[in-house]
Amino acid sequence: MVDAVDSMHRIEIKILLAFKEIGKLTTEDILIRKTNLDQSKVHRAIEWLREKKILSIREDLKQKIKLTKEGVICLKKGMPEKRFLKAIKSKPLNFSEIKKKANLSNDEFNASIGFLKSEGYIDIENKKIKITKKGLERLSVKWKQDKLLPLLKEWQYIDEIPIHLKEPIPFLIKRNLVEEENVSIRKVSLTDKGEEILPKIKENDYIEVLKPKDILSDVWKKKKFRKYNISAPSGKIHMGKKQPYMKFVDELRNKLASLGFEEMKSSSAELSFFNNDLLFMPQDHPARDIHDIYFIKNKKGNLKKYKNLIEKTRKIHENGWETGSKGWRYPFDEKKSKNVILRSHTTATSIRKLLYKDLKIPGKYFTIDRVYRPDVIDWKHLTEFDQLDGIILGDDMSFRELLGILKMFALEVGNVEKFKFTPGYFPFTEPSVELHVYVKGKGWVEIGGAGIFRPEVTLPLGIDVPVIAWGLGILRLFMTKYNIKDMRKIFSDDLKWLREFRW
Amino acid sequence: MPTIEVSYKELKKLSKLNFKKEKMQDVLLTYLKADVEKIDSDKMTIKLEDTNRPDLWCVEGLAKNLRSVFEKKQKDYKIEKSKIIVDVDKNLKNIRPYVACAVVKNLNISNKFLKSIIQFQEKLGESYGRKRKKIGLGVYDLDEIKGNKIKYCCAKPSEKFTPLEFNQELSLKNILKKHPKGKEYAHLIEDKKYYPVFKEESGDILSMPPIINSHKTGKVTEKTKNVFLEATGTDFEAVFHALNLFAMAFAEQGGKIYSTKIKYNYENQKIVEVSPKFDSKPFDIKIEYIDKLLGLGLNQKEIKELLKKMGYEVNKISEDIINLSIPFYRKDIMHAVDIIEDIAIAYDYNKIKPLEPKVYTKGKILQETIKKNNLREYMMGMKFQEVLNFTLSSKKTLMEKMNKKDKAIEVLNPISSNYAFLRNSILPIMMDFLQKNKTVEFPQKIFEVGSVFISNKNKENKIEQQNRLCVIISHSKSTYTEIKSVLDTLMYHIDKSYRIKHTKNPSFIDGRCGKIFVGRKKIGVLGEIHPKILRNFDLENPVCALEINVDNL
Repeated sequence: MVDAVDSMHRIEIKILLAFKEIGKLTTEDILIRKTNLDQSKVHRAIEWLREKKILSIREDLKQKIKLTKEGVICLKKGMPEKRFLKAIKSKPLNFSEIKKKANLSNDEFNASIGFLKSEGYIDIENKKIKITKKGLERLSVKWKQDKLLPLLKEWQYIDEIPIHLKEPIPFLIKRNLVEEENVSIRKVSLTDKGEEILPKIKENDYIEVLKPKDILSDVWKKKKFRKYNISAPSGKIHMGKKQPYMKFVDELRNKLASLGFEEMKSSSAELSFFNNDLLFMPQDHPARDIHDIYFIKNKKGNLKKYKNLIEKTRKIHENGWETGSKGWRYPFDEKKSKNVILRSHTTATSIRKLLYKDLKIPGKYFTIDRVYRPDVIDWKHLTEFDQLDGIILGDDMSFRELLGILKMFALEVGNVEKFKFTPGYFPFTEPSVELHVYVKGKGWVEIGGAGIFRPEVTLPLGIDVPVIAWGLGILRLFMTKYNIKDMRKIFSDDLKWLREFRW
Repeated sequence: MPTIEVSYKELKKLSKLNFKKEKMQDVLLTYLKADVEKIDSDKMTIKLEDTNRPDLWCVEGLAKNLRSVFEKKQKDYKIEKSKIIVDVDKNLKNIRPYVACAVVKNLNISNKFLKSIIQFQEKLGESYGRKRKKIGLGVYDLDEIKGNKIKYCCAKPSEKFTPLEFNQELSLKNILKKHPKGKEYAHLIEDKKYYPVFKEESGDILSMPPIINSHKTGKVTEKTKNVFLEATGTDFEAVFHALNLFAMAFAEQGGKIYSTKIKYNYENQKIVEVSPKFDSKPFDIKIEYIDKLLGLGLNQKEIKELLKKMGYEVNKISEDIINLSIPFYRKDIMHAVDIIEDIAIAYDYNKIKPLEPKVYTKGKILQETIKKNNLREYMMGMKFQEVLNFTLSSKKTLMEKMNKKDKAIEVLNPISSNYAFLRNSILPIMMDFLQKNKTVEFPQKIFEVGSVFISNKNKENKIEQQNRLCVIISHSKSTYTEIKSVLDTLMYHIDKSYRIKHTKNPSFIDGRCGKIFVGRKKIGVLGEIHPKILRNFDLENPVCALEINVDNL
């Protein structure tokens, strides 16, 4: 009980204090007037008090009325019927004479004449209107409307209007001089608990929001702090937050750096030479045609810089050059090398790295970057996405080390306990292998491919140590980790989803 | 990579391996890179990972290779000579120059076998033959062909024969227009003056390769006993290899193979080729190289056994060199590494002990990445939500709705007009994003750090890829000042001084848009989006935006 009082808000206290003056039962409107607070504040505080079972609320329907525009005119000029009668009090007059003398509009005149006639206050003879005896009597008594109309300049509840003034209300409504409206009135009353608490409520007893002046004035030594309802609902904050997939990529990048890999990067607008030819993919390979690679319109690359390399590549494709390979045995076409494309794999970046002068041997490199495929977008296909590619070069690298690296990824990155290897096929690696991990509830999932670059790939680049190369399907890793079914979520355009995503 | 359907019972029968389905599935993947995607009672759907091993694209080939792995007895393919001679017209040189043929007799064609060879013929033509351009194959009922002399020659488009499944003669030209196969493959020959055909001794047309056979000789059924096979195409080696593989499938099913003679006369050089030829090829491989690549320390005997499992014959082992024979059906072997992979596969990848690479290197994240990450952190510190959009977009979004004329880089073969242009700015994509989130709670404060693509003749790929930061604020009271203070705060923290100059930009309100300069370099633009643009994106709240080139900072 003490808590209930101590944790009361300033406005709640004000409202309860008002009850001390008003009594047990009142309305929200009266409380607003008494406390001199905003309607919204009073309303909210009443709700709080109701939740605490200190107040109870009942909604009553009430009728209120107010003068219409026409009503306001009547208030100024007097009732048209009265003015009409007054005008013919001394002698009968014709229509236009009455309108003029009584200052009646056509509408007022028409409305009045009907009413006066039916009540028997006037007679019409030879187009002239004459007041009757009954009419004269009517003129001699006071009109109740005269006292009522001034009251109705503002909204009045009908039940608050004195009974002796109420009689003309139906007539005024019928004449469209007043309008009516039904409103619900919130009747507020103290509960038994409220009555019990009321004596303990005192003004200004608590510190509300702690303000700098309160701290300095030592007021906190004298006053109690109001106790807050610390479980009351509070608003949501939209954080500045990473895009979920970007966060995953950031973590992966850091992980790879911590494992000793150096990041590499190249443009995703690439030349066919780097994406295909240098990777020993024959020029009529299906993975190179328009169904598998995006071509850029009206652009041909400039390969002048790579004259020697193109010659070697031509020989590699045609007869194996000095690599001991027999090659693909077809006429190589340099024009196809110049096609500007959107790269279909980040292995193109590894190839560029092997060409760069800053390449270190032994070395470990990785890239996470965008690739493109002409696929129709649906829940399991995207037309652009990221790939993770890496290479390790060193004289001691063998297939066992390649499997060692894949095992490490399965355990460290894939976070799984069970994994297996199956033979794979890529035109640019031999031996080739695929990594599968066991995901609970899903079974075996392929998450990566790897291999040792073929001599046809490395020798023309001047690399004479084994290069082990691997790629991991990071989309699949991300989706598995966060149990995302629809691949389109990776590039989500749903702001609400992004705001609410939890990692 | 090709996908084929195979009867599990047929595979068991031909391979002589009585494996359960799971075991069969497992050995196919472990030893033959054949991924069983689905098993539907007897029907196995298999994806062949290796696009370079057409010998595996039929149940006969899979069975043959499995028998080898499990050391079962192999069939002895003895080839006898047939009397058939194929004369090649020298005028085919620039049309479809190469042809290889074979005869198979004493067949007992079951329904399963028939299905399998038709599928094999299709896959060889489609994948290995590059949609029949490089290679196409045909099967004929030998008993319907009269005489031993067959001509592979040019024919005028007006010559006629009755194509398969038709009941009347059509001109070659009309076959290309009317027959379903004609329509599908017409593009391969229709621009030629003459079309390639096979003719029997009488001069009747047997077929028009690689399009369609004649109805009379091309209909092979379960009753057919003897067949004539041919492959034609543009690549000499590939044509002869495809024919060999095709003939091998028949031999695996118990057929007796007979060779044919092919007489060429190109460049006035008379050459007679014999096909099919099942000749293995000698190859030397160093044990040291095997060990360097695999790191398994295998001895001579072990290597010999593993090689045998994969179908190689070891002829001789001197100190460090193994002399072996590559079987005729393994044209994919280009280099010693291909054989070494087979040794590893025979050993079984999952029995190899992985070794942690002992290469000690320092890990490093690119300066470019670090710079982008810093900007991202600052933006999030200012309570902006990061978003990630596609870099492919549409003309409508990039240009029309933004009221912009500068042309973005266009993709030649888009799958949809929505992804037909590379974005040259992130801002339009962000406007699209706002449109999709009209009903989501405001204020909306978002940013993206990502790539845009601009034409640049000086680059070797003629395209410059830039890293950009785009920032968007949208709510009922967003103003220029708000976005300006974001820029100001960012520039302070990356320690760059900048200037803003008034600029006219068709996407922004005139007088509320500025170019941003660092030194003399223009690095970006900021301002309040024009209501016309907002209406184009169906937006009702003001939008303020900022886009800067991060590379120039």
